[in-house]
Amino acid sequence: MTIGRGVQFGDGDGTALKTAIRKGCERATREHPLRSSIVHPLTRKNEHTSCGIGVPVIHIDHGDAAEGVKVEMIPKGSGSENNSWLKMALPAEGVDAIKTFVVDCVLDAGGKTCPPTIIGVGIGGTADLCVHLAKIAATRALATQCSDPEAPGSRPSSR
Amino acid sequence: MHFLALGTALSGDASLDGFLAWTDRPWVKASEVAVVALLAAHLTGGLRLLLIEFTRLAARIAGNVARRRRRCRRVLRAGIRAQFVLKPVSRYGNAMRIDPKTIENVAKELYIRALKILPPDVKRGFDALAAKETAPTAQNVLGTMIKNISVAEATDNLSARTRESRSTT
Repeated sequence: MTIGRGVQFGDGDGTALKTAIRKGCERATREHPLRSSIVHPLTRKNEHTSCGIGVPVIHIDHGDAAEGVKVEMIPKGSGSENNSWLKMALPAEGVDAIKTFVVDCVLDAGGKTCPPTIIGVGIGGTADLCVHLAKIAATRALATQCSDPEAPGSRPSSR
Repeated sequence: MHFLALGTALSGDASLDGFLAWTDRPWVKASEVAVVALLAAHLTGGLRLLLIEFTRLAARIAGNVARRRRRCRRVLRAGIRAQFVLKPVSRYGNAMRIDPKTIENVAKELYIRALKILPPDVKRGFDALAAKETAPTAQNVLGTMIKNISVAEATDNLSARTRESRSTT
C-alpha cells in the first residue's frame, strides 16, 4: 500500500487498516471461493482463509501524492515461493556473480513453477530488502527496464 | 424576569419600588454581573464551535484539543469539549478519510481479479513468445498455455498468472 498525504483510515487507527486487508483476503478465499495454500509452518493446519502468521504480507509505504491510496495485490503461489533464492555474494565477485547466480537459479527451477514464468531479480540491500526488491521487480511491466542508470542496459526513462 | 418586574406595578407603586430597591442590593447586582459574564462565555463558546465546524481554523483548534486531550483526558470528557473527542482530528486539517471497510472490499476484489485477469503486458509477452518460438515441442506447450488463458477468460475462471493492481482515491 502506498498511502498519500492527508489520508486517514477510520478513526485514525492504523491497526484497522491491517485488519481490513486481512479480512479482505479471508472473504475472497471463502466467498469466491479460492484455494487456500497457507498453513501453519509446524502443525500444517490450514485455516482456509489464505491468512496465517504474518500472512498476508503487508508492505506499507508513504507517497507524496495528496489524498490518495494505491493498493497493489500480488497473490504468489507456492510454486514461485518454492523457487526463490537468496545469495550474499562477495563484493570482489562483481556483477558476474549476480548473472551466474540468476542463470543457475533459472536452470534449477526448470519447469517446476506454474507458467508463465517471470523472473524478478533484486540486487543489494539487506537480505530481506533484497528479496523484497525481487518481488517488486517481478511486478514491473514486461519489456520495461530498471530506472537505475548504473544497471546494465537500463533506460532511466523506462518507468 | 422582565414581565415579573412589570407585573409588580399592577399591585401599586410601592410594590414596584420595593422590587427596584431589592435589585439595588449589592449581591443582586453581583449576581447579575455573574449571569451576564456566564452568558458571554456561553456565546463565545458557541461562536468557537461554529468556527470549528465550518472553517479550516477548526482543524487547527481541534488538533490542539487532541494534544490537550492526551494531557488531560478527564477535562475533555465534560461539557462542550466532548464534541471534539468524538470527532477524529488530523494534523493535515481536512484529511481524506477512508473507511476500512472500503479497503477490505478493495483487497477482496483485487485478490480475485489478480487470479483471473492477465495484465496486458503479459499478454503481449505471450504474443512475442509465440512469434519467436521455433521448437515444435515448445510451440505445442506454449499453444496449450495460450489456449488455457483464452478458456479461463471466456469462462471467467482462474488463470495461473497472479498479478493485478488497482488504485483508489
